[in-house]
Amino acid sequence: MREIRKNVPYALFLAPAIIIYTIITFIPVVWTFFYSFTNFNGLSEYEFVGLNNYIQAFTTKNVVQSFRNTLLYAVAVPVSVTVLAIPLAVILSGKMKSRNLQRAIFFFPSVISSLFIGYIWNFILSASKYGLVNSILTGLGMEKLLLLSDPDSAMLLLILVTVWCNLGWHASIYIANIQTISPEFYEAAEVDGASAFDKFRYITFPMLAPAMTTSVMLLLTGSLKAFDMPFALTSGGPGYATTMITQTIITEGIGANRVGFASAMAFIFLFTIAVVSTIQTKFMTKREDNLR
Amino acid sequence: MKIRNSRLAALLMVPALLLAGCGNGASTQEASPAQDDQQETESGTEEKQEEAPDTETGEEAGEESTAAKGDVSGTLSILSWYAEDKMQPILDGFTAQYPDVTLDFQHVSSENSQYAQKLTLLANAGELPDLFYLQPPITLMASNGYLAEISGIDAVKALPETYQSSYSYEGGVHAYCPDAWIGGVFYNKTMFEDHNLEVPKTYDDFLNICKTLSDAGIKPLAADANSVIDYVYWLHNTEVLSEDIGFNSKIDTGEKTFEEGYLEALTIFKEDLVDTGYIGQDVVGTTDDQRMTEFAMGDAAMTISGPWAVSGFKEKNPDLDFSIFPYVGTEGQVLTVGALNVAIAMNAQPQNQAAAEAFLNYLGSEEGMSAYQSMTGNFLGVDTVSYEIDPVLDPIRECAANGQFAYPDVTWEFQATLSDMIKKGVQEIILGTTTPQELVKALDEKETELRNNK
Amino acid sequence: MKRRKTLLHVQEAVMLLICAVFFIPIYYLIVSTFKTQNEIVKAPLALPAHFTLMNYAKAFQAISFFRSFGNSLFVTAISVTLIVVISAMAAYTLARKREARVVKFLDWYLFLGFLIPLQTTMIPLFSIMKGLKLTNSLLGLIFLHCNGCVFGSFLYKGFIKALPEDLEEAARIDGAGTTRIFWKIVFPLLKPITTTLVIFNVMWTWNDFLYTYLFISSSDKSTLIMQVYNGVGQYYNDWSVMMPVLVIALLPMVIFYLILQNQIIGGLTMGSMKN
Repeated sequence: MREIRKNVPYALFLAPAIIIYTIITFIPVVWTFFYSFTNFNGLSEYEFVGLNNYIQAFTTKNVVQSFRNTLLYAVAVPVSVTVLAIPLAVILSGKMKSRNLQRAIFFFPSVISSLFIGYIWNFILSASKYGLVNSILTGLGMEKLLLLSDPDSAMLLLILVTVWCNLGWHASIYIANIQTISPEFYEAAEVDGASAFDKFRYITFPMLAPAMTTSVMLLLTGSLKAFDMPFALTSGGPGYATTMITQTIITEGIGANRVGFASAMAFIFLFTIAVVSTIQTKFMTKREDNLR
Repeated sequence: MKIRNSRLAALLMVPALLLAGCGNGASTQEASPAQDDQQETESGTEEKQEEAPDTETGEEAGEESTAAKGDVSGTLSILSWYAEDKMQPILDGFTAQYPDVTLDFQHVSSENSQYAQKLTLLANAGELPDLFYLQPPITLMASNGYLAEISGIDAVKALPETYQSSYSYEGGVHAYCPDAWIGGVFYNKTMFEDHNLEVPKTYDDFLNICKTLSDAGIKPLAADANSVIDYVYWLHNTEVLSEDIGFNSKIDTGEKTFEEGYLEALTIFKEDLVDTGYIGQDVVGTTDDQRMTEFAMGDAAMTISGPWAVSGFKEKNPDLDFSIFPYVGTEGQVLTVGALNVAIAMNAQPQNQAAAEAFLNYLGSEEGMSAYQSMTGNFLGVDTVSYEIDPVLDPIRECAANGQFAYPDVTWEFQATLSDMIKKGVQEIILGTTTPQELVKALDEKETELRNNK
Repeated sequence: MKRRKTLLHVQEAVMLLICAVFFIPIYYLIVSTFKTQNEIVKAPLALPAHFTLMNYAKAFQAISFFRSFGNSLFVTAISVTLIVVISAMAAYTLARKREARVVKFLDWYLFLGFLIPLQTTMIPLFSIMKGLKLTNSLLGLIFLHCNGCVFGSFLYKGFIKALPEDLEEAARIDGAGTTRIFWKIVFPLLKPITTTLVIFNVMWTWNDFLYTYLFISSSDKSTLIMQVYNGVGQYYNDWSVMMPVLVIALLPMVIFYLILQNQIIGGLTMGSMKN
């Protein structure tokens, strides 16, 4: 009895978070799961249609393609941001005079709403003569580039723009982590005659595991859920080249009054995210544990 | 397994689409269980009219006694397609006449089908405002009893027959739309004069113009990823719709197919505009604003758009000398681009019916109409109000007067899915990753699938 | 040693060049706001030939700045405060009672929430919010933003685990209850990570767009980002109005960054996921 009374405050501490989360996230997910077996259109009564929506999702060409796009994007973005942010963090932790200015400039894009980043970059990367890049090129007497009107380069540019707006922010996470690394490690390494690269390879990089867990997790879930930016930059085009699954759920499903179908797509997607993120977290945490 | 009741059956039996409805609604309404909501609302409307029979025309409505206006009070909620600063003159005019009404103005941008999503959410939760804008097709909303029948409202009665029937369901008007946008092909007059070109009389003339310009090193057409479809709809308009204006409703019933209506247009589009290079790959990575800039700055000779584009052109390049011509067919038949505007519907269970009706009637009044016209810049369906349309648009005025305009995809029942699909498909045709045959086949399959799953 | 110094200068020069390239889009956005549309098209990167504030005048006309700014401030301030309190409390239980089976389960249950995009659940969520009478209400919006406590508790949990329990034990022996121990002893120690969390959530809440447009209808309850977004739709053909609207929406975040610049890194330093 005393044991229970002692635990009451702990339960009360946890309760608000659990209640909010259950209402905002969990119940709607269960509800979505239920809808995914119906032909609900958002407006009228519905019938159960079994696995029909799931079968349709797997056989609709653009649904499959948008799945593929999302997966490609969700692999490319975390990898490129991490590969660039760690060296950037090391440099920005150095002794440069303009260090703070540089940090501010790199951080700046992340305070802008991602939707507007998409709009700004669209203006820069448009295939039209009046896109900023093309107007510079034609001004210099060169041929204009296809940029966003080529399916492959559209995807590449979408990834680049995402890297642009996330780089500084994630570098900050690593900078913070670097500052916690005790200088003694480096002093010891210097005594042993280690090169700058050796120091990075054997001290800095392994010690960054905690920051990496958070950073990669944020990047991975963020890019799987990406919605605003790809839409504002390319509207999912050309064709379906940069259409993300979240976009398909909205336009093919809810916008078209096919809530049942949208729910099935959502559920396949949720399942994918859950699997990917669980694997990622397991892997990352293990790396952190090795640190101890 | 059916849940709740069987309103779906009513939906299936009713091919109520563009030009299908007729008559002045009220008396031809068939009684069915599904119509209970509307019936109630409708009889309510009629009662109100008996009480206030003096609202015969807009003008008289303006002089209505203050006592009658005193009855109209409370809060009126409106979900608008247009942003608040654009609507402001109308809102101000309305509250000046009905000072007791407080407006709860709501607005959702129409970008990225957000308006449609929001409307679905509100409807599903029973949270629809008193008045809300509605895009065609209205079948789904009307058949599920979300829309009040408004045939009896004076402002609605004043509209021409085609305007009423376009937003009708089962013979009753369910949304109020007083205006239509009508466009065509804008062309650069200076360029045409420099190359001794004349406004095309047939589609072949148009192709020749493109060739002459292209040979002279001028980009003939400015287009963007989203609206390049208009070149396909052009041929669909002049070759298919000019023969059978109801063609697209027949796609909904399965009587006609995309292959019959669009394959030829898509093939001509690919062979005569894409393969010739008049429409290049850059189009699929260009936005609306950018192609407008290209046209305005004299980098391209022609572009397809509507009335809203005129002020943009002038602002971007005040020296631009331009005009417009309508879509012309292979035999010289004219059926240009245009459609009725989005319409305003009334909630089937409005919180404040009196104010909602007063608002519609205010829009229908002379003052309301001219304010509305200056907001949308469109052609009005009623001829009681005189208004200025930019003289640049004079060449298509006749099309507006004769109803020679159409926009195919607005009438498809599964417009939201199919219109996106055909637009993306046209982009893929330009990229060379799909063919017209594959596209129409995919469209027909999708349409059948959606119809069977309804 | 001298060679090393030269190297540092070269490095700095290269980095500044990269920064300049990195900054071009922002420069382009800002410089365009002082030009006429014709000039934007003709000389995109040049400094304005005829400096004009007309665009800002037009932009202020297009959006109701003060009302929406006030709404944004209200929603952001309250949401972020609530997120901090709720997350810290939840994380305390998650960290200190992590051996209990029910806590383990709830930890996993919360983690799933991280993964779910709103697009997939908005229809049922809207019905629930309507049932709670929280649609078209700023309080409802705040409630929705509180879902940020899932990430918050994740961040706090790692930090609390790393805190030594001695102080808490000592206080308990002195007769202090759990609630008192948490607020008097633990919470003040969380300050660095709290700063981090505040920064993240201010950014997210201020820039939120999806919750706002789905759940807020009335114009007088709209936030600044919403106003800007509506402007995008409306002025899509007139970037000379669009760009200053974007700058206006950015400005509060830039000021926020400049004020907290040192804490952002500092906060992350201490806070950074001491697992």
